[in-house]
Amino acid sequence: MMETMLEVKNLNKYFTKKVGFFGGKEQVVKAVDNVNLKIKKGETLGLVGESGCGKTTTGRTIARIYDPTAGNIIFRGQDIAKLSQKEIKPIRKCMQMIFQDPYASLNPRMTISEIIRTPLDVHNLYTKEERKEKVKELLNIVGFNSEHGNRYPHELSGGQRQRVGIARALAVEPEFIICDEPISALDVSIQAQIINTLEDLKNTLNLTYLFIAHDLSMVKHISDNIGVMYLGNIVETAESDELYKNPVHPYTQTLLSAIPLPDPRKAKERKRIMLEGEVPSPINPPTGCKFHTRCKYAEKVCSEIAPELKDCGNNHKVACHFT
Amino acid sequence: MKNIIEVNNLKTSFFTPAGEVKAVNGVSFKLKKGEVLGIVGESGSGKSITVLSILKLLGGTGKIINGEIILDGKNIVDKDNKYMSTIRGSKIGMIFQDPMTSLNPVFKIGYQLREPIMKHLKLSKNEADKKAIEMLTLVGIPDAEKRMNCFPHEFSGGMRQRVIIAMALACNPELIIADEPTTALDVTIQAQIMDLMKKFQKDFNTSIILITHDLGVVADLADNIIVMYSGSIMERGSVEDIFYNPRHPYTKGLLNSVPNPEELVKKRLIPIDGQPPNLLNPPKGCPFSPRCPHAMKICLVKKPETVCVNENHQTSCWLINKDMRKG
Repeated sequence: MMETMLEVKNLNKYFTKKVGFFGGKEQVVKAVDNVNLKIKKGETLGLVGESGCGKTTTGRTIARIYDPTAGNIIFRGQDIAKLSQKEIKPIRKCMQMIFQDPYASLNPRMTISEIIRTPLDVHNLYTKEERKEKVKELLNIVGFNSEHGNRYPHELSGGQRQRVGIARALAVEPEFIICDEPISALDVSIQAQIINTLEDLKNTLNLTYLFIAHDLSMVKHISDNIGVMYLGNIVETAESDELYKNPVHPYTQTLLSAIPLPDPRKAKERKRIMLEGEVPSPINPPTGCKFHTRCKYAEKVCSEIAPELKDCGNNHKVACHFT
Repeated sequence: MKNIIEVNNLKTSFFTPAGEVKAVNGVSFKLKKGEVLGIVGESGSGKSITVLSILKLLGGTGKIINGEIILDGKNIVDKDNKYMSTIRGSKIGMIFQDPMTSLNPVFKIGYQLREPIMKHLKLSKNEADKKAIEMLTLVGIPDAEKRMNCFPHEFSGGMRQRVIIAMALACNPELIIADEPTTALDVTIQAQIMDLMKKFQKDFNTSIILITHDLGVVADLADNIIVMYSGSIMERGSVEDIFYNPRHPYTKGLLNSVPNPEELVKKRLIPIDGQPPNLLNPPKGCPFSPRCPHAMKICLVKKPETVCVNENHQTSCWLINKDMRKG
């Protein structure tokens, strides 16, 4: 039995927005609603869903960039959901994040070396000399030579910037990294480079990943398990091969059939399941099963009772009334 | 069959303070009626600039320095803006990448739809309104009559892209240019929009130039594909040629860098090493040579000529050149 790295229990993150002339009324956006996750040491969990489904908010809440509204985040046996920002700081040494936009996540006024060194400064690790060595080592790990360290972010391409983001995350030698759409801003040929780098690092440094993305084919490639999110809920989780071969939830089925296939014969043969309409507003989500407004199998019960995540064997869990 | 558009040896450059950027460097292609042409390439490969050159929407620093663009038997390369405005929207419809920025936020959808219809089809305001509502219904916008009075911010991304498609189709253009029409959208919405484009292509027999960086998107819709890199065409052929018999190392590299979701055993992805070249200072020989795993001496000094693999399938690579001479 492998050690559990992270367990998320009934995690909620609500954002409130004041509306009305005097700001008297409050609107609640349930960005993350009752999410349960479990990641074992050395595993990669992929989190997929359309924009606005709460996958990024889940990642950010786990990293405690946001304070959770309710629920537990058990990281290496310790509940970190209610720790203060001061208490959370040492834990961030074990948990780091790689952000989506390599253009916005690097300070344009710092050199690459300074950017990578910042986490070491913040956590007060090593002496000054050792830090220099460490930065060189990190630059090497992600495929730069030490000369690159003197450059500024604007001198690098998107893929190179994302490598800087990875090096920065690795600086404090974390065990767990949250990758929030690390490749979606990059070109196809560069995406594969970054994915390979992430996979190599995982193997050599024994890392655990939470990999957030909307690109199902890449997620399937890199993850051991996948969770599918829709409007703040997890609707299906399974091992990645199992989920791909045997999707049970109607939403997962549509997501899978929407993947563009790089194979003209198969793409022409394939019958696509088309979704009607778009994701409803999370301010006023549908009652019952949140997917029922777009689901072709929906019956009366779906609009009344929210289905719970049920195990249907093989570690495959689905939240649907008709499984 | 007659060609809708023919582009011959198009060269477009941008003149920047740092020097001349050869964004498009000798691109030629023809498009028949009802044909869907996919242009695939990474950012900076010149695919967008190629079609913006056709429409002459290059802005201040860009200039077409060579080539012919033949539309309806007439070379339009030297035509002025006044003439071009009779073509844009009526003969050639355009769908841009970002539905968030390609609609004017301060005008109602109805106004923006009505304008090209009144101008090009010479209809009255009421008739144009009718046509606009008809188009909105056609692209699947419910309650079209009411939605005419909405502003762009009241629509979601997918809905805005539908409005833009309605606008592009409104004047029955012979050619539609779609520049990354689904890149900014979610996969499920992407599937909806691609489905819509497929339907229109069939119903109206419109020719489409579809620009994308995602090979999966063109596999389904395109008849022929052009693979561009650094302003030049690396390979062209039918969809089947490009996907099942790619000859250029760059095309092969692109196909290898995307995971096949149907594979059962996890294979390591094979990325293309290195970065796209700086167009201010492009490589001397084949633009792909610095990243090419098979690069030979000649690749670094001389640009390869175009070789025909078969009647439809052409590639520019010394490797194939060598094979052909041997065989």
